[in-house]
Amino acid sequence: MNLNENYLDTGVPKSQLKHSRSGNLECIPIVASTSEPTTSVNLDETFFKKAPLAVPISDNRSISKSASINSLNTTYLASRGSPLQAKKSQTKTGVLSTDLATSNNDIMQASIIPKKHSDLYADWGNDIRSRLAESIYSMETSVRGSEIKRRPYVSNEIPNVFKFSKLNINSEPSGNQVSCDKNFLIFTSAGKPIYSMHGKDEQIMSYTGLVNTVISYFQVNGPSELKTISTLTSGKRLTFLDKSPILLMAQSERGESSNELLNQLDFLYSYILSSLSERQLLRLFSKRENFDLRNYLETTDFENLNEICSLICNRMFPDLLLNSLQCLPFRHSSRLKLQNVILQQLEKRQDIPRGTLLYGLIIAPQNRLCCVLRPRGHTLHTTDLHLLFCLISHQFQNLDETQELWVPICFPKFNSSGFLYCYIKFLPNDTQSNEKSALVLISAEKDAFFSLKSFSDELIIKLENEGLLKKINASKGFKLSDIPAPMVHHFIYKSKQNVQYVMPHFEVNSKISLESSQRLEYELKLKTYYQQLHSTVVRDNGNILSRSILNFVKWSSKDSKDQTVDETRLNFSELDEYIIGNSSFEQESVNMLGMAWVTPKFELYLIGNNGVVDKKVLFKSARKVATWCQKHESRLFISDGAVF
Amino acid sequence: MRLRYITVFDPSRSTNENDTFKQLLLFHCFGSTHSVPSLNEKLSIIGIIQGIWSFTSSCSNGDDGHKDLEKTIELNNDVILCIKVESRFFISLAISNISDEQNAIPFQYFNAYLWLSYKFFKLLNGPFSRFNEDFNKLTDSLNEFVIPFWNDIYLNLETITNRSFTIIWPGFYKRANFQQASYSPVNKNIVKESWDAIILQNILLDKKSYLGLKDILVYHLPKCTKAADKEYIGTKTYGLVRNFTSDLNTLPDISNWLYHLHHTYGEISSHILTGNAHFKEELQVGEEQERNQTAGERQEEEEAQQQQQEQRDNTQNNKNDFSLSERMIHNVTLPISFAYDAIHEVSATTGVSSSLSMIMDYIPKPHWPFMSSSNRNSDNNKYPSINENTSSNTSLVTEPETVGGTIGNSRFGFLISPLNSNLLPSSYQTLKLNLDFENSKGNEDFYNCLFWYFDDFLVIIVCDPDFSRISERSYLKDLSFRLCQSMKCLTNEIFSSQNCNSMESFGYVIKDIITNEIDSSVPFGSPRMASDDNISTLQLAINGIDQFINNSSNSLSSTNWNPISIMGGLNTKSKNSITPDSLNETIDNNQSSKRKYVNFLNLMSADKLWDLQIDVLQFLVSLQNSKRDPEYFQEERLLKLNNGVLCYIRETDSKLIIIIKNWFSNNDTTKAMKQKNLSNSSAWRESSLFRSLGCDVIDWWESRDL
Repeated sequence: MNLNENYLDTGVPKSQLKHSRSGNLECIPIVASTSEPTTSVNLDETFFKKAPLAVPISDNRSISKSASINSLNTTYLASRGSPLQAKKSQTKTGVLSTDLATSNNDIMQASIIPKKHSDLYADWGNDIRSRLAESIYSMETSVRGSEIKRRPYVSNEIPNVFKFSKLNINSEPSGNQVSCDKNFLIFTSAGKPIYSMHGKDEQIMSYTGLVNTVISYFQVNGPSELKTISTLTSGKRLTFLDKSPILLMAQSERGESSNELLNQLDFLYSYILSSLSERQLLRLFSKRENFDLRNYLETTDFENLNEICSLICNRMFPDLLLNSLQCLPFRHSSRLKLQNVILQQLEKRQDIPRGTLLYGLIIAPQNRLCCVLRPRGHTLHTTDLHLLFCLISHQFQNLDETQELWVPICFPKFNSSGFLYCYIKFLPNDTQSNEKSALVLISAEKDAFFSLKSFSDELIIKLENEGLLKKINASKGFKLSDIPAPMVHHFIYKSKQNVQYVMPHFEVNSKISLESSQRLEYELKLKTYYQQLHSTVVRDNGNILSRSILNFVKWSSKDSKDQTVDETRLNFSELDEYIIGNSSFEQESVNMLGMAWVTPKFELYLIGNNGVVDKKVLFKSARKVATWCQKHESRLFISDGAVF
Repeated sequence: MRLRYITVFDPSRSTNENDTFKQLLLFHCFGSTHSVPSLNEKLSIIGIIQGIWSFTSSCSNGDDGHKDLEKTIELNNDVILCIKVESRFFISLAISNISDEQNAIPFQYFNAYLWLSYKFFKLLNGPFSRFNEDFNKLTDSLNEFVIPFWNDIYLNLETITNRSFTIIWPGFYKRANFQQASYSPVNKNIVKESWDAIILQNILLDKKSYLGLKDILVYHLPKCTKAADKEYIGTKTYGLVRNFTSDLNTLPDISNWLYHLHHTYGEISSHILTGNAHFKEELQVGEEQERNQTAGERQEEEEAQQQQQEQRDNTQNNKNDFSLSERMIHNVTLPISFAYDAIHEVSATTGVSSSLSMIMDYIPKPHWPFMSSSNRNSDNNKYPSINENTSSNTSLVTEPETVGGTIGNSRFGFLISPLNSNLLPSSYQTLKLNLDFENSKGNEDFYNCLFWYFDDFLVIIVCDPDFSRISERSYLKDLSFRLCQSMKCLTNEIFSSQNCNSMESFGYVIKDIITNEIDSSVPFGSPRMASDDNISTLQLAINGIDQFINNSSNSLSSTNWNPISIMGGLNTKSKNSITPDSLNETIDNNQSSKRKYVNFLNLMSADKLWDLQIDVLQFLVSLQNSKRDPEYFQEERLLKLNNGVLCYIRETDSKLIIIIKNWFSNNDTTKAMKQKNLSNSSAWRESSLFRSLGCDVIDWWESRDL
């Protein structure tokens, strides 16, 4: 059998992408080369015709083309045996496969795609079989930014078992506020709107008026405070946060508890405070109750609010849910060295009066904390840090390393009525990626810019000399395949003591850009899985159910065999349609197993690959994950930081 | 936690600004009468509820808004629950001081009871829309039913927690799960006639009553006793044993109504069924006390009057009657006019008028036509029946005139039937219930219902409104006889079943969404009920009599008191002292002590059990919040807490299954199971989450499937 390894790495030339008669995109040469396969391979016409939702694929979708290879593999299997058998063999081999997964990379590459050749059909059976075997391995997936364009052979895509309203996937604030399943509304106690995530002004105006009336009714006749209105059957919930003179309202149909929503509202309110400070806010409204805050806030404020809302609603942002920070995995010795360098620098600069520099932070891309400099006995609240991270990643991302910023920010949990001043400078990064780490120095003094600037300049030079800068830039976090835990799709591990969490990279195709709808959809899906898992361990008031908990949640397709899938009713997302369109025949049966494991030391939320049905397998992996995380605790988490 | 007010309103009745008051159908503030809000305040309350209702409905996707029938408004210290019925009536309940107590009761319970109160009202009085022409009548009926219903809860909030968490599904009813005798072919030959065949063939399909009797509902309602009690029977067998039609849509309502009565008042008697028994509040101070006392004891007085009459009529029969307690005598001697005035006054202030009609009925001196006979009968049958037992167990003791009697060791009789004196309100003769038989012409209609008991079994006989034979005494006797036969069979069947004494290591709840049935073995009970006797501050207004009669020290059998029969078996203790040598009885007792149907949850203290129920409720809430697309997917959860709770929940289209175990005690079984699992192929089908519950659960599950 001729093998063509290069095929994998070069990608499929466009000429090979043809549409079959049924409209399927094919990228497997064998199939594409002739439209009439012989029966010798049991590949009859139904093979194509069965495809229920054939979606014509435009060129920009070619990123996922290799997915169809996998799909065809599985589908071929499905077409030969009964679906049940196919399922069984998948799960059976699945257990075996993962152990081999890591070592088998080379072999797999070698045997996957046969060359376009005349004797292909003779080899088809063998080939399919071997590919089948491989298809079950969880392959190491594409490396971010690398040239390799392949996708895992069995899509490690997890199915979506949730019901989202479609509009929601557009991150654009849609005009129609009524039709979204989640919305945030901020307005003044006089009923003037300040911000709304969805909805136009005209709609919002009447809305806020109503809400205002209701809230003040209870204030007058009580006096009591309106907290939540919920409809139990449909899971709709309106949650209110009264921070007079500002009122906030969250509307959600996503099954979040009112406590979760309150946290989100509090985060939004904290943002407003961070840009105004409470004192200023109160002063503005004490003069005139019907003050229109919108005139006072900057455009960037609204942009930031938009970003925060979309972060809360649509992105994978477990920070708020877990109330913890994400941390940059960093070699322990390097981290110590880094802290020492910073402390030495502080020591050296005795001319900077004590108290001028309150905190120092190095923040890696994607809001991951790399290093902390803090006075003894003081830490910054996670909410404050989240706010700072959001600002840096959204507002200041366009700065280059030659520019520096001096911004007043109110840290509401630190001191809601005053400002701290932040010196922000991005660290030079010589690698190609344009993501930069940032150095943040926080001071209480307004005019400390120059002393902090010189401090930072010296520090950066020193870091460069020590080679630490390179290490910071090179540190990429970890991948799931770094951990010997099979059958795991993704996990979040939170160290309770450090109030920090880690999670592996998303293993999505690197070509799917951060903002593409596919990526968003994936994040939303993952986020919902985690949200559901988290909700199994907390009470409505946000407390953990009990000191230690081990919960499994399983989502599976309904057993009823007689259930005929009515195509008109199918409401798959684009990505699903694409996959289904290519995999044709049978939708992969859904068997998702997730677990939430809470102990006094850590919280672990873990999602297994689709098809893992045995909880023991998953729990075994979970234990491996937990041991791995504990073993590498000093690398994964910042335990103390540089304390002076 | 404290109830504040309940209100019923219909916004569609107001057409303009000036007649908004027409919306208001009922507004009742609980507790003291000083702080009754003015009409304006009441209107503002229902206004804001309406406002919130339409506001929240409008901010969701169009069509969904109409499906929502319940909303919860949480304030910082209050909660307002609101439900919408018959597409235009709103019922709303406000609770205050929600964060006060440690053992706060979750809102779901109140919400469920809000639904139940409507459903019960509908059962007894028909739907609200029936009163379309005369809304004053609706207000009256609401006053008579809804207020006492909620007042009982107000006085004893634990009422709503005394039936495990399954109560949060008000549209579902509990079924009794007896472990039936194994129906192997050999056994089948021995069993001549099953109990349900008797009812079906000899009663329902009988020529005399064919189509006249719509349905017969058989309930098993054992006394609610504490787990420590010897007579304790697990809750598994509590509930509907079976009914005989498939189209009775109101089955959940009527079942829940019975369970509610049984749990609220601890027993079922004629008075309780007819709604004439209610809690009264602990007496306060001074003048008010006196007034309340008379009001509170009004029921007792009525009963006392009855008794007085009975005594006068039957002095020759019952010498014992003169030994009635001092208090009774005192009550009896109170001038009737004074009582009448007091009731007038109290009902005017509290709005409770249910008793008014009662006293009016009693003012003309009643004459008890059956009294002499039934008393004689009871005197006759008491000892002889036991003697008979020893000789032949099967012969029924039914004297010509009797309403109730004993057979073997069992008591039976009618609670509500035309055999009751027609001087009593008509509801004592037949209770009219608004039932919905899907296959009958007009769907909903009022059917005459008779209530008959046999020990712990309660039988409701639903008769067609036109079926007049039920007023014939001979027919009723015949009916009673046949029911006795059937129940005898049923108890035999139950006794002959096995495995009912072994303690199950798990508790289960299965909610069948298609049939609206709940199978549950989770024990009843609220923390307070077991921990202290707080209820003593509350007395059943009717209690005086019932307690007196039930008292084992009193030699009177309760069957003497024709209109006041209380359901349940004879008090075994007193019985034993009478006939210690009765062979049959000891066997019976052994048998009854055998069938315990307990599981490990029964051994838990009430407080812990309550905590567990709260936890499970939390799991369910979390499951309810699940965003899973229910059209395509099902969900399973296995939750393990460090306090030993192992809870498995699975939700599919048709069923919600909850299994509770203690995983501390689970360890051995799982090990044993591992071995078994290899060979056990059928369990293989189940998911690994389910399998990890241990083999006893799997065995039980498989035996269920069979």
